[in-house]
Amino acid sequence: MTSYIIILVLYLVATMIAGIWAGRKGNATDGFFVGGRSLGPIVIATTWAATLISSATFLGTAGYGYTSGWAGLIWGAFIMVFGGIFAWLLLAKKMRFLSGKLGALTIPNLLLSRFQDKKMNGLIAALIFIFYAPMLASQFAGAGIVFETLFGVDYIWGIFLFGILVVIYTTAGGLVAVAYTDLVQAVVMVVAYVIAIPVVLTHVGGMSNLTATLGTIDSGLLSIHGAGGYYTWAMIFSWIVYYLFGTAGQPYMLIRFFAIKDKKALKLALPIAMGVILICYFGTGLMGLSARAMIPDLTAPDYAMPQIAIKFLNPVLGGLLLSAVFAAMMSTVDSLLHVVGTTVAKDLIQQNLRPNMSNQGLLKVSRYATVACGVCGLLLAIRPPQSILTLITYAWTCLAASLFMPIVAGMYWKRFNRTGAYCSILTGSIVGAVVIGVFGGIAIGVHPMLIALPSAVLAGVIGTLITKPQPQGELEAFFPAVMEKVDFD
Amino acid sequence: MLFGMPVWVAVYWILAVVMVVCCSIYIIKSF
Repeated sequence: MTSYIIILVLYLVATMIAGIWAGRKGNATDGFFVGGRSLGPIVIATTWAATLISSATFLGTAGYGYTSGWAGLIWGAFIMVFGGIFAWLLLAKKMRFLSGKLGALTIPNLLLSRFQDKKMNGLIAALIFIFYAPMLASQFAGAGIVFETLFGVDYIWGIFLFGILVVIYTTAGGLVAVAYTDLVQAVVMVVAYVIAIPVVLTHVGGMSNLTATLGTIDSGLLSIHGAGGYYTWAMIFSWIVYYLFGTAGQPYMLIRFFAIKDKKALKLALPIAMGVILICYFGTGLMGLSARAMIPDLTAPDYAMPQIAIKFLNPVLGGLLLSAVFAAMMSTVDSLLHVVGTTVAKDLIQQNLRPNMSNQGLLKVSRYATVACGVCGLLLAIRPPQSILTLITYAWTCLAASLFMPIVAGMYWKRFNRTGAYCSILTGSIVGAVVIGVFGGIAIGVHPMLIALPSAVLAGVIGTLITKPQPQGELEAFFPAVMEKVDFD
Repeated sequence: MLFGMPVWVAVYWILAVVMVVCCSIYIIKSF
């Protein structure tokens, strides 16, 4: 166990050094908020990929693979690749251009320029805080549980050790520090899997032997519907909708578009990011499938991957793989923390309480807000919810349903107006929360996202069409006629 | 089995890789 801890400590030290080194660049307001709009293709790609890959991916995907087989890997997580591509195709170029042109520093700040409504700006910021705070706490709790389960470290000590480290570098350097630490974390994840995948495949006797073994345990493990038949066609469609459209409604992912340096970064980052994501998802799922073949009596499927690391890999590779679990958690936590802290500072405090605040004042308040949000997350994590992964899924659902239309229709549909945006935001969040509250994970045979998102879209369309269009003068800055011809600043 | 996986998984993988490549080419050419 000492070897695992040494590798993990080395990883944490490397992350801290990267965070503090990069943090020096985050001393200006735009550096802290949007990485100075100067992040190149490698950094943008790795921060995008590492943020998308969370503890839900590393522990949950392996768990889905373990319990449901190949269907768990494909429908439970892998479809998220398409969500990333969809969001990139639809929003990356427009968001980078408009945020630079309008000087927007946060997603609600950009939507304020579109809808010209301060109350809506405050509402969106509040929803981001309400839905991301539990997600933040869930990630902290996940880290605490992993520390406790694998290393015997007390749960409370685990969450505070993990939390304090992330809060320090995120507060010091904002998005610059987050992005560069994400780079380190993505490298750790990819290296761990590139080495671990062939080693694990050797242990199970190759891919064909793995599939054959799974078939003898339970033929459902090879089925398109998974063992136990959880993935019905309705559920498969639900998860496709969940991942495909969900990413486009997540500010903690989309803020990265604001930080793209130039057209080269815009073009090259997506293929690199997809490469990282494909390797990590395949590797994680494979660990779950291999665990099912080699350790069929595992009581906690979510720990399939760490169990493989400890039981079948040498201490150095095992330590690297366990560090990758922490890398996945940290890269999501720092992004959530950054987006919640900056949104509270910019869209709640500056917009509503201190409109004349200077840039230096805003930077200082953002740091205080980031620390305060981190403390909030840690306090919530002291008594974690029963199912961490479920809570993450629900928070993601409600926010995606609320913000999908304001962000996507706001960018593309000129007729979409303030009333439509309000209808969509309120319907998405209320319907999402009610459906989840009443039915839990499956409502009338489908995921709650499949009810909340279409309801929000419909409400947005109806609200828009029965009311007057937004005045043309308010839209000119947001819908320039020559966007394609304007280069980056 | 195809590539050691159930056929539907292998087909899914092929489609996924083709889609990632096509989207990447589209973005590089048009953005």
